[in-house]
Amino acid sequence: MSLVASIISLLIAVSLLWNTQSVQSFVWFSVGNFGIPISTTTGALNMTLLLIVAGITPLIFTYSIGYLKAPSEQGRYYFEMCIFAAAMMLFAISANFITLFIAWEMLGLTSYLLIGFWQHKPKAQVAARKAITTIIIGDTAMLIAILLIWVTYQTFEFTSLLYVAITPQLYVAMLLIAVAAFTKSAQFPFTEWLADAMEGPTPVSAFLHSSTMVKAGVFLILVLAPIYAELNLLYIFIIFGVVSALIGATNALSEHHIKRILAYSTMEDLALMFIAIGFNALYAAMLLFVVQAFYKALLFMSAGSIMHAGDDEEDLFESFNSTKSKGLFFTMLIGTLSLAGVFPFSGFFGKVAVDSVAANFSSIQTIAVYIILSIIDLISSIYIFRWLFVPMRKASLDKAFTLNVNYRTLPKSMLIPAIILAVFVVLGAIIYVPLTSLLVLSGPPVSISLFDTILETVIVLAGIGVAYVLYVQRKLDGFTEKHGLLHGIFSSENSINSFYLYFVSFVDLVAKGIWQFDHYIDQILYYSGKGLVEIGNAARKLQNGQVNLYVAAFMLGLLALVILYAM
Amino acid sequence: MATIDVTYIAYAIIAATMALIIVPLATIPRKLSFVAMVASTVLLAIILILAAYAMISGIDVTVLGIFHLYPFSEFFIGLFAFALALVNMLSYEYYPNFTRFELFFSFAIIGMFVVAMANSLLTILLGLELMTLPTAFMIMTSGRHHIEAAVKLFILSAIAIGALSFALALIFPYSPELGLTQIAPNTTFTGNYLISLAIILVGAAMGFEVAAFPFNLWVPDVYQGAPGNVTALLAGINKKVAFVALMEIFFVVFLQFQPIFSPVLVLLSIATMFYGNVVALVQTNVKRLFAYSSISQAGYILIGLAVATQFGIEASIVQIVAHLFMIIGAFAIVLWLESKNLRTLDDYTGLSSRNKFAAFALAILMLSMAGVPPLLGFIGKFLVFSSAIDTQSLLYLAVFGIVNSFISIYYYARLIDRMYGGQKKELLFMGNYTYAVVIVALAATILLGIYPNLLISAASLASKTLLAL
Amino acid sequence: MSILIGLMLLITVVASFLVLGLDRDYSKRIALFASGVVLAITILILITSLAQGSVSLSEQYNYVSAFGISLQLQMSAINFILVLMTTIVAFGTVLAGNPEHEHEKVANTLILLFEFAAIGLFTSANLFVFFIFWDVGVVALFFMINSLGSPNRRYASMKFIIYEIFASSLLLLGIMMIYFYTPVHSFNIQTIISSAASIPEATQAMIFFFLFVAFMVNMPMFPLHFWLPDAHTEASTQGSMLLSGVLTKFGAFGMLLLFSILPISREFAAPAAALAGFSTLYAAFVTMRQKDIKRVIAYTTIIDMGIILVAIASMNEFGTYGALFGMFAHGVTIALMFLVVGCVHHIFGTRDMRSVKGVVNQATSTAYSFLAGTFGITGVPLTTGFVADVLIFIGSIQAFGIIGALPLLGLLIIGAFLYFVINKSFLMTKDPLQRVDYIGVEQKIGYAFFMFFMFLFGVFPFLLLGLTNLQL
Repeated sequence: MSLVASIISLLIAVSLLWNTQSVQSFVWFSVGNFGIPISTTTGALNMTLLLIVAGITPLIFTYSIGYLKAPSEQGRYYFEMCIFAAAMMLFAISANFITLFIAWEMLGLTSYLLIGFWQHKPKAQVAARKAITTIIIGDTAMLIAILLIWVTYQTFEFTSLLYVAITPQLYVAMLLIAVAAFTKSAQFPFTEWLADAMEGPTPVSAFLHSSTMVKAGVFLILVLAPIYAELNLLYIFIIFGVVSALIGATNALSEHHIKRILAYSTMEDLALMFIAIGFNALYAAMLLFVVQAFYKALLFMSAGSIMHAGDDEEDLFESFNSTKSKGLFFTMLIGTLSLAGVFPFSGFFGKVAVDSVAANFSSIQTIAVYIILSIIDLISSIYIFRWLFVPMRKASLDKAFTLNVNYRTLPKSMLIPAIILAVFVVLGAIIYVPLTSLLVLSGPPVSISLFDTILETVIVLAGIGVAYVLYVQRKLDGFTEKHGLLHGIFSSENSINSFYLYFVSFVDLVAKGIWQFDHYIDQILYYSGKGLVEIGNAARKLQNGQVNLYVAAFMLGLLALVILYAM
Repeated sequence: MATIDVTYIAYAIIAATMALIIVPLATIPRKLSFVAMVASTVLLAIILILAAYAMISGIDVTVLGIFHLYPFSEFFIGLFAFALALVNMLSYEYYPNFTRFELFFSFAIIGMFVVAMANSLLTILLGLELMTLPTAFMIMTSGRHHIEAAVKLFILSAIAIGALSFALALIFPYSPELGLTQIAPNTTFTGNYLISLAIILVGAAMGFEVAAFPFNLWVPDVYQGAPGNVTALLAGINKKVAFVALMEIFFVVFLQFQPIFSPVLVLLSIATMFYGNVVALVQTNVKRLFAYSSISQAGYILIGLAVATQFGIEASIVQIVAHLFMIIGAFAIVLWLESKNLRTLDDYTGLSSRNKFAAFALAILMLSMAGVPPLLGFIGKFLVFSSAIDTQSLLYLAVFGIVNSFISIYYYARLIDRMYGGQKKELLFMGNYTYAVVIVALAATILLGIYPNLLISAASLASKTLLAL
Repeated sequence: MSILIGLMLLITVVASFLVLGLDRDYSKRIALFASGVVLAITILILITSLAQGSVSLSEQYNYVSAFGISLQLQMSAINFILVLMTTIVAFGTVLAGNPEHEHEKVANTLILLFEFAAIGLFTSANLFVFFIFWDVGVVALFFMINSLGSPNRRYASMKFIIYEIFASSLLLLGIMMIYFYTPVHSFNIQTIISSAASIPEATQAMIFFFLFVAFMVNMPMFPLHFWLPDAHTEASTQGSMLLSGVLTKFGAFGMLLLFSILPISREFAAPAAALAGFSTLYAAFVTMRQKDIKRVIAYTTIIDMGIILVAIASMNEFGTYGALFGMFAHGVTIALMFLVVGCVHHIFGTRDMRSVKGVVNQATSTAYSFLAGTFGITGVPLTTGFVADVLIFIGSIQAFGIIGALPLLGLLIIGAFLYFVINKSFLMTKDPLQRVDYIGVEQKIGYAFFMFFMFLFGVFPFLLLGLTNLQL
């Protein structure tokens, strides 16, 4: 059912291609003379994302048929997935902030629900909690930003923002939107939720947390890049992008959970896109944006397949015999090659396009960025081949006698979408060419020089070599094992998490203090009431039943009145 | 229809009042309690109808030089007749020796009407005396353990009457005529400190009668010590008669001294409200609780009088009516429960499971006392506070009043809370007369609260005619 | 002159007494019928007035004529939205709020009486009438808390009535001062608005202070909010639904009146908003320390009402619409939340979030309704809460600049915490708590009923915002 719907939506999306770029808008509700419109557009940029989403959706749903067998969970799963897909498509075609925000929040929430999909796994619930906390920080920032923009300019439309006068409010709003984008795209300092999100079902990871949802942030910044350029704020994307890319790459290298490696890799890819945007090279960013969707979805599907085949074993070092299923190994290989950036797989073009934008060596900063990017490329080719090589090991070499290697055969529904994706990954660059002609973006078009190609190839080959030495020939085994020195050096996961923990416990401490304060005020009010009762008790003492006291009181009262009058 | 000489109605009222005395005299020998009750109730009903008719037709006539029937007095005669009929029925149900009670009761009634109709200071003094002493006898003769209360009332009221007489004596040299309207225009009063002393003495005496702090220390003891029906009489009617006397003295005789007596009344009012409410907070005996509550209500009434405008008096009259019905209804229930030996707050726990109607009625009456709309008590308080705000200089008096009305919610709500909480206990049944009295009080509280127009216009008429004297 | 408002009042009050007088078996049917008819009338008014583009009814019945007071009722968009909310909440409360079927007779009597008071209050065109309905509502809820609810309810009800009577005393004082200091001596809101400028400044400030504190207690705002958590925790489910859903709006509606009546309120708008914003953040932090789910929900009321006060204090068109929509949204949503929590208590016998686990396993609809309610509270798009938040914060940013958006942080904190609760208690199915009872189909219909309105007006906000007559 969902599959049919998704295919229909794909067809609709494709048919929209033939429409000219048009903006449709209607007033959602109005207050006084001001209307709050919902508007959608089918501009080229939007269509690109829409096609990616619409294209991947049926594949994911097909994959899910094989992945998710229990019928009791299917209803919930497809419900949430469909809402997500709808929200993602709405996001893709939104032409103003309010529309975008509606989709944005729905993305966050469906992501939250899907991460916590395995309700029996406490870790999944913790991950969902972390994700939603990060996401609503972004949502709040976003809401403040768009309302600020509205109040300043009385508009929600992206396009009309290009022509407005620059005000301090716009700076604030744009910074807040950047924060929102960072939360959604898991950039520093909001990185950790994405890795934890891998507790969700694999199709969810393949769909939301690699190819579509996490890229909402990037997409938003892509759309708004001209405004950032106008405000000279683009450099923040370079700074945060570089930091995030390093975190992503190093963690991916030290991680040993099959999906988390890919998650950190996604973080790195997204960071690369931000860096490209930071150089105002939107074509490059878009290229990586498109190809990454395919190869990362492919990789996740493969990861899910390994785990599925390996009796849900999630540890890279406990997975074996990945070559046994030829189809699976083939998809893994394609994905790996693409991610590493081997010519002529699509990943290569994406990576090189991003690298080349930093390659103008005009200042010390750009040189530094270029060097870092090259190092990151090296690391990524190491970790992804590590990801490929380690499960290739034969089980018998290790603990064959203690391990129950129950190598299930993979259902076709899990393989076919992966293979389709693999085709896209191979042909990705070719598909991109006609799209480029449609896109109208600022910044230089992608041009890949021979120098870049050679350098990239060298780096990748070096990476493959290192990975081969370390993980196939198993030199330096103590260094590279699961919790070896490598892990110790490169994993920043714990430190970032403890930073979060400090933050949360700080908030908790504030809450505790305020709660105490609350209690005290309550007590004060209570005792002030009690004080009145005590006065009553004292006054009651006047009433001792003695008539002479009453007479005395009468006389005293009379006297008091007389004195008062005399005064 | 041939016109009847309207003055006959005045005579008829006085005659009916005097006829009340015949009822006990005729019934005591044979202990015809029921006959006595019916007869006196019918007489009171006749008085009520006559007074109402007189008021509607606006009769203004002086009888024998000492009684003056005009809308103000007719209003109160009617009101008291109605309330007395209620107390009469209550007493019939509970008082051990009803015909003997009826004797004292009749004298007290005559005293009340005399005060209401009074045309001279002397008549007022007489009426008050005639009202208070039989009340003390009523308490005394109802049982051995009531004697203490009776003696207290007796001694203290003697002092109050003494103060009033002394005031009269101070006035007499300057104004040989003691008719209310005849004293007023006397110009020799101005700047005379003896007259001021007289005013203060009257204030103290009236403070005693209306239970204003600090002249009110007797109130809780006597209210608690007296049998419930007499308590209802004391709190519901005697005190209101005292207010009538107070109004007659201050607003007719001493109207020109308003700058002197107004601050006195302000002080009395504030002190009384605070004393009544704050001490009521810690009471555990329900009867004492209502005693203090009625003290505080007297404080509210005093606000309107302290304001001393026509509007203020009108407001006070409405509040008097409101409190009269509320307190008679409340004491009817208290009396009934006392007869079942339930006295303290703890005894009242779970009342609603024992008799739904009683709990409901008491709750409504107490909410009305606390000033919750749309009940009559709210209308009274609203008008009283409004009158204070209206003068603008006495805004603080309204603030004090509202603060007090806020304090009072605690003890009312606490009792309501008790009544609606607690375990289920055996059912209790209410006597028919009590039931009727409670129904009437409740109906008056609710209906006059929802539609107060009639009452307000009557009060307005009464206050206008009082000031017009 | 129409009779519809009067008719609604009559139906509720007559039904209230019918329920009280008739046998217990009929009580729910009568109450359902009466509140249903009232709801139908409201929706009828909505449909007809949407066709006309505005709603404007006014009615007058004689009351205390000596003061020129009559039962003046009116219905503009402001009144209408609140009445709609009241009727929805009341109907849902009668329908679903009592899964235990305990004390149905008393409960239904009081609900109808309270509905009567609330409709009267929200339609009053006259401050005196406003005050009377206010106190009737408060007393009805006092009995509701006092006689139905958990064991500690009596303490809570005392606390409630003391705070509320404190408020209503100040309210009375303020209203009387307005009456006597305006030259025309009138309680009519229209007349007061047109002549309030002639009240001396100092007096206006005093009146503003009295009324503001009175409404602050009711809304409630820090530092006078202490009655609320106790009252909500100890009240029965129905009591909490009405308390939070409708009663707190008395204060908010009052604030709306106050800010439109007194010209001086413009000067106090910024401090008022600051207080409200502070109250929001404060309550958000306090919420984090709660262990009882019902208390959590109770504190969210303070947060949302704080935000609504911010909107009112911003005193512009967006603010006003935002406050109205916010009140509507909050009423419907919080009623749903309390219903859910009540059902959780019914199903598991506890509301402690440390022990409630795995609701989704045992009562799926309850768990997801809680989720939907959370969406509503935190203002997720397509719920009414979102529209309200957008309007409110446009208004407050317009009035106070970027600082006006700070209360959103309160929503952020509470959002994070609510999702935490959802995860911990509702959606995680590891070692679930065993249920001790079931909920009936009525409760599920109740969930659907509230959610229907929450999403209906969230997706189609113009159904309410199309009513443009904002006359008070």
